[in-house]
Amino acid sequence: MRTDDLITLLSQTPPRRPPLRLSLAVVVAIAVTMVVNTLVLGLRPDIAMPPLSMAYKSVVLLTLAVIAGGILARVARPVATAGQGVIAAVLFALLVAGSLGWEWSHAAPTAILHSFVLPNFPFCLGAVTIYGAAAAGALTGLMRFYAPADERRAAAAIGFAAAAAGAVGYSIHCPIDSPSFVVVAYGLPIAWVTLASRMLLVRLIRW
Amino acid sequence: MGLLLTELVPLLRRYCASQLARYGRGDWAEDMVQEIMLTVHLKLHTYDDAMPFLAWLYAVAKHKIIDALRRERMHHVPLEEAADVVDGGGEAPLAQRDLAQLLAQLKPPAGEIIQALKVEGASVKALAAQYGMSESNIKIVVHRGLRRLAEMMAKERA
Repeated sequence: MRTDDLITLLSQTPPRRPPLRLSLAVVVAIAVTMVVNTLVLGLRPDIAMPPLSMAYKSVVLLTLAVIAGGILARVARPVATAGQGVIAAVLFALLVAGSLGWEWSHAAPTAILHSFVLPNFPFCLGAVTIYGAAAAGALTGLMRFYAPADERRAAAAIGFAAAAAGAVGYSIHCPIDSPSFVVVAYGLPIAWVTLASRMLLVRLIRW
Repeated sequence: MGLLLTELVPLLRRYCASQLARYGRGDWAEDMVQEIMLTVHLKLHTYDDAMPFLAWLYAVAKHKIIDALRRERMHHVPLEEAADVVDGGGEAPLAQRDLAQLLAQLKPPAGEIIQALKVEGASVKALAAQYGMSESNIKIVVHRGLRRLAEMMAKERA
């Protein structure tokens, strides 16, 4: 094909409609996960009168999902744009560290560790992993319409955002709000979905 | 769009030629220009208008060149054949191809629709009526066809 032919061809082709924004896709993933979670697992028993600790858990997980969505949107372009990611990450780490410090200074270690021997712990690990994997599949399909500068980083960002969205969706079922529990039971699946995505999704988002 | 692409071609030719020549692949330049133009068309929505356009363009070009070189290295690097690959002058395969031949490899009716748009200058509206599809579907078929075309060009080089 001659280059001039290609130019003619492309100039006669209407420009593509932009795909769904990735940050918006994370919001959709949260909403879908919440609906599926409500239908399949149900809501936590005290959802009608939620304790203050649930607000803490929701804020932490939603903040994480917002940060993840922002990262995902930024890494999806050939030229990475500047963002407030580092500041947000530092503030988030301070929030989590502060809540962990508060819990360990106010509660007995046995009470904190007790939640890890409940059946909720492996269930949380599994549920967040499954929701995260499903959302990662959807976000991968969407990422194919984008052009990430660094495909490994973009693949990891897909897993991170998907698992964070899954964690938010699942959190309305899980009645345990202990900061230590949230960090471990939600943090571990987010970490391994991120790692697995980084290893497995790179080939699927090449452009 | 046509004006933009026409303006970009000399820039891309120079950039591709200089970058690829460093790896003994100067003969790929024209194919790379075409592949990059297809990518520019398909990924234009990823351009952030707060950033300089050329920075975006060169980032796309750099990515495609690195990708092509990486694929080539993955597929054939036997050292004894390296000299042949470089010296063979490697006539750019796609530059020689007939457009119709290339489009025929697309899943019907994508090739026909793209051909009609390009050769006959048919309108999207007319094609929609001819193929019994909505105008949106015609555009989707064309975009998918172009994306497939880009993949074919990439595979061909590998």
